[in-house]
Amino acid sequence: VLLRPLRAPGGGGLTRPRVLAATLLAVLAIAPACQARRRADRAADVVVTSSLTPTAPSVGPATLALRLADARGPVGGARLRVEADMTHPGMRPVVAEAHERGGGLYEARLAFTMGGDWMILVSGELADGRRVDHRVDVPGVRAAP
Amino acid sequence: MGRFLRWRHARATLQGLLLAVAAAVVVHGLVGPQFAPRNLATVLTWVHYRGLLLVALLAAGNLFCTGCPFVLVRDVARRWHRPRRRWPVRLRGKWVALVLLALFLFAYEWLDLWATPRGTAALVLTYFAAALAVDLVFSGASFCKHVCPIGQYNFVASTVSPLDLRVKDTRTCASGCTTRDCIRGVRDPRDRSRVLQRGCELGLFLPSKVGTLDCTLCLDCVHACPHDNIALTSRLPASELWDERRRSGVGRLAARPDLAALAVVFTFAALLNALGMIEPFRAVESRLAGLLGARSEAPVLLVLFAAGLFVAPAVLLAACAAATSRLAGAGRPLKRVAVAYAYALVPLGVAVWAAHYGFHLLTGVLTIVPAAQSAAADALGVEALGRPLWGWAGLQPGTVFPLEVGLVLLGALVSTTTARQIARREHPDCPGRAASPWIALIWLLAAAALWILVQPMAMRAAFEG
Repeated sequence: VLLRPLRAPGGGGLTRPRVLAATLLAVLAIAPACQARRRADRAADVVVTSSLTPTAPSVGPATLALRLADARGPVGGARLRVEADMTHPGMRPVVAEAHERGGGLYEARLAFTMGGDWMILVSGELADGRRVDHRVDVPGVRAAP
Repeated sequence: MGRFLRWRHARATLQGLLLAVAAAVVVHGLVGPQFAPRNLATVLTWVHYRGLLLVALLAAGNLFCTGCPFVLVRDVARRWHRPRRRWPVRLRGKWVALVLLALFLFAYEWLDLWATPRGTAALVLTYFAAALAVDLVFSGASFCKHVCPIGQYNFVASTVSPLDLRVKDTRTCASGCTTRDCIRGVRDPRDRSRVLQRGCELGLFLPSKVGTLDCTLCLDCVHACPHDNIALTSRLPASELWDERRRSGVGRLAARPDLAALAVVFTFAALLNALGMIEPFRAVESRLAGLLGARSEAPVLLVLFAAGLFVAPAVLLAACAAATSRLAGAGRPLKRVAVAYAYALVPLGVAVWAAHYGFHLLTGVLTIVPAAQSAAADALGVEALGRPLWGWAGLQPGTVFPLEVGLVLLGALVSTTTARQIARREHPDCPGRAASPWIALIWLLAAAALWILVQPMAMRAAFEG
């Protein structure tokens, strides 16, 4: 269609409204093919508590402990992904998987690569498919121990 | 002049492009995730815009003033409202802009703008509002010439740019030109109130224009000249810093203490801004907070900025000027000596800014990809540009270090050359002795910049008062 002349000699070529309509149709056709941003239900009843060791971290390794619990007790079977970003844009994030230790406890080992303010984003899925998110602010990571 | 720049709509095209970027910054900054590494406002502004601005200045010239979106909006608004007043004589010069530049840098540090998408968006909106407010009241390019802190930054940095807009043949201007369209503009012969093509709004008459100061590369003069006698040509970077000819719209550099002060603040701000990235700065802040009994960061930063941008430069420049007067034996006023030599610091200042912003650009150049993917997903509801690749960043910090050191050393060398050239002009009998205090200052500042570079990064950690 796009290879045809914009205006055919007989006057029935691609007029501007037709081009716009074709573009709109193409966008509508392509859009569903794009991977939909899946938004699972958020597990509002699940409480996430976290602690970082060492409590005043420096550049180097640190362990993030996460406890998941709801009204019935510890929540196991979740798959959690941990991503640590500096608050300053443009820096490479640190990504880690959290491993389940039992009793609703999960642990992730991180390595802070630079001094400054960090923010840890925890995201994942519970066993029932619901989504869980948690954010941990880590201000003032020391450049040297 | 290339084909693109000759095109009448070249500037509007660049401005439209940057206006679209500014719109993305504002929209995503206001409604997007308030997490700096994942927001277009903070990523585009503090990683890409600043870095690319320095790259453009070092590789070509003041291209970001050419594409300034604030001026595009102002031009559109002026179709409905023509300004009648002229910028007040008392406020002419760079003093207002110098204070605004210092305030801008202070606000950046105090409000943690790099980590605040909404704050960044608000800053851009404030800029649009300020440009409109000034230029709808005052005629010409009052905002660009007398107010805009980014513009002044660009003017000073562009003195080391390799390209300059100037007349091709001065004889054509002297003998063949009677209309002076490059500064007056072109008017409709049937209706003199109607401007067909603007002349230079910043008051630069091309035949006596020297260097890039106050030139926004708007190309109005190029389009206005009926003799096609204006060209964007190469030159020796920084050479205008020791050129003492009288400049149209600027005057002589040695007679402009406001410009000299701007050059000095520009250079010391480069060091102070980089200093904020390292751990010792946080330690100093904490100690100072203890001494002042401050609970918030503002008074501490105020003291540090006053000391770093005004007190320390004043003391150092006065000492250098006194030493030059003593060594050269010429009994000139210290202020005059200081103003004449202050411009020698500019190449080092540009180098430190370039090392700092170049670091952020090179280590975070690819972060725009996941930020854009995420923004598109936020806007469209589907991951139209794919799942955000949050692991994409850029070069490892260690690999950028040699480039940073190289830039600082190159800047110090060019500053040294500039000081020597100024000394040849100011103290032709003993240029070596006259320049020596300034060369010592240049290398002292270069050593401070290198010390900052080797310190452990603390990436603007939170205030611990």
